[in-house]
Amino acid sequence: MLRAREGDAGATNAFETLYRRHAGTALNLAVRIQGSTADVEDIVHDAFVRAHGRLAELRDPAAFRSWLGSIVVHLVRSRLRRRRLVAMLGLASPEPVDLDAVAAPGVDPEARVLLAQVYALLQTLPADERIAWTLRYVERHRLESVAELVGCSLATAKRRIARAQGFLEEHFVSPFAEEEA
Amino acid sequence: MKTRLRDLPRFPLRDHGSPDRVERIWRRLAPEVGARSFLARPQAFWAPAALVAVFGAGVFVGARWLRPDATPVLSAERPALVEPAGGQLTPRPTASGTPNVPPRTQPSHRRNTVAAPSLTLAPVVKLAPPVSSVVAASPPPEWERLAEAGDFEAARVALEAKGGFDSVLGMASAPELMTLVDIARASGSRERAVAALKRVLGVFRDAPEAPLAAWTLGNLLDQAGDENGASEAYALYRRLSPGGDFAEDALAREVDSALSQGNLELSARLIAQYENEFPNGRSLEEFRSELARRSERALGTAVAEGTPGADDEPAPGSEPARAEPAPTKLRSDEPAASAKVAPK
Repeated sequence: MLRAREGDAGATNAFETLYRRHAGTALNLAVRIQGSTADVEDIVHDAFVRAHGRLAELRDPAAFRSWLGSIVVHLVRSRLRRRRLVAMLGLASPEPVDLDAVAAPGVDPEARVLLAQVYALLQTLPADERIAWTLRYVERHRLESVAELVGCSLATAKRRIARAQGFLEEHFVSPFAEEEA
Repeated sequence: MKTRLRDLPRFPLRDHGSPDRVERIWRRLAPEVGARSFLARPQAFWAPAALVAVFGAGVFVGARWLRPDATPVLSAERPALVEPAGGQLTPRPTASGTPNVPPRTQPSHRRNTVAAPSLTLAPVVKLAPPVSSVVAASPPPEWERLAEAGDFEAARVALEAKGGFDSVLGMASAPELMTLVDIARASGSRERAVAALKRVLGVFRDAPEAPLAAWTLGNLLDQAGDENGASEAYALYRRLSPGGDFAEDALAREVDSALSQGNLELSARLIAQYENEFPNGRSLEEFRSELARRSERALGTAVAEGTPGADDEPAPGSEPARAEPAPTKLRSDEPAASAKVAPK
C-alpha cells in the first residue's frame, strides 16, 4: 500500500497488486447498485484511476477497500443520475434491470421474482436512497459502512434507508400473496 | 398484499470479478497508471537538469566575476600605484627584487588602477561541522514503524511493550498521535482514538494534522451517537481548514445533526450557509426538502395541539424545536419552509 504511493515502476507493480485484490469487489458493488452490468468496466477503470491519483490522500492503508468502494459508489451515483436525466428528457429509455447480473445462476425462481420487483421499484427511487438501501439489504453492509461508502453521516444514511424501505413496503406486492393467504 | 422487506432473504449473488474481466480492465488501466507514476514525481525528472543548470550558473558567475585567488589571506603590504613611462603598467618590484607578476589575467576594470600586492598565504584552518548536523535523526519507535507498514496488531503489541497507549499518549507529537489514532481504531478502541484526537486538537491545534484530527473526531463521535460532539468537531474542522477537502461534508454533517435533533432554527441557518458556500452542493436539494418537510410537520403539530411546534424526532433533553422562517435563499416553491409557528 505504502509502496503503491511512491510513483515508480515498483509502485506500479504494487498498485497492480492492489487492483487485482480489489477489482472483483469493485465490479460486484457497481453491478449490484445499478442492477445491470452496463458500463461497469468503465466505472471500475475510472475508480482505480482516481484512486491512483489520490492515493497520497489515504492516510490509513487498511481503509483502502472502503475508500475505493466510496469512489465506485460516487461514480455509479453520477451515472444513475445522468441516466435518469436523459430518460426524463426522452432521449433514452430507462435502463432495464438485468437479474442475471445480480443473482447467481442457481437462485430459485421465487427469489428471482422477488428480486425483480425490488429492483424495479428501486429504479423509481432517487439515486441516494436506492444506493443506501442496496448497500444495506443487498450488499449487507453495516449502517456505519453504508454511511462511509456513500459519504454521508450515519443519520443521513439511516434516513435514506428508511425512506427507501418505506417506499418499498408501501409498493411491494408479494408475488405469492394468494398462496400465503 | 403488502409485505416487509427488511428480512429480504439472503440469496447467492453473482460474482463479476472473473479473471478475464479483471485482466481486460487492467490492460486499459496499466498504461494510465504507469504514465501517472512517472508524472507523479516531476521532481525526479527535473532534478538532474536543475542541478546541472545551477552548477553551470555557478561556474559562469565564478569565472566571470570572482577572483579565483581571493580566498587566501593577504599580508599587510600596501599596494602601490605604478605610473610607468609610456603609460604602460608594470609590476612593482617586490622586496626580493623580482617582479610580482599576477598569476592570472585580471579583469580590465581592476587592472589599470592597482598593482597586485605580494601575496603570502596564511594557513587555512578547517572548521569542524556543527554538532547538530552530524547527529543522526533517531529512528521512529517500533510501534510507529509497524503502524506505518499497516500492521496495526503488531503495532499495538509493540505499543504495550513501551508502556501502553496511555503512557505514550502524553509524550507523543501530533503525527505520532495520529498514528496512535489509527492503532486504536484498528483495535476497535474508539475511546482511545477519541482521546488521541482530542489531544491533537488541544495541544497541537496549529499542527498540519489538526484539521484531519477534527474531521476524524467528528466521524467517530457521530458513529458513537454523540451528535453534539460530532457537530462541534465538524465546525472546528471548518474553522481550521475553511477551504479543506472535507469542508462541504463537514457543514453537511452539521446540517444533518441539526435536522436529526429537530433544531429547525439551526438547521435553516446552516442550510443557508451551505447554500451560500456551496451553491452546487451535493446535499442542497435534500436539505431543502427535509427542512420543508419538518417545518410542515412542526406547523401541523402546532396547529393540531395549539402548542409550539415540535419536531418528529426530538433529541432527548433537547428543547422543543422552534420552526423559524426559512432562510430567504430557500426556494419559493417550498411553502412549508417559510411557515411561521408561534414561538414558545
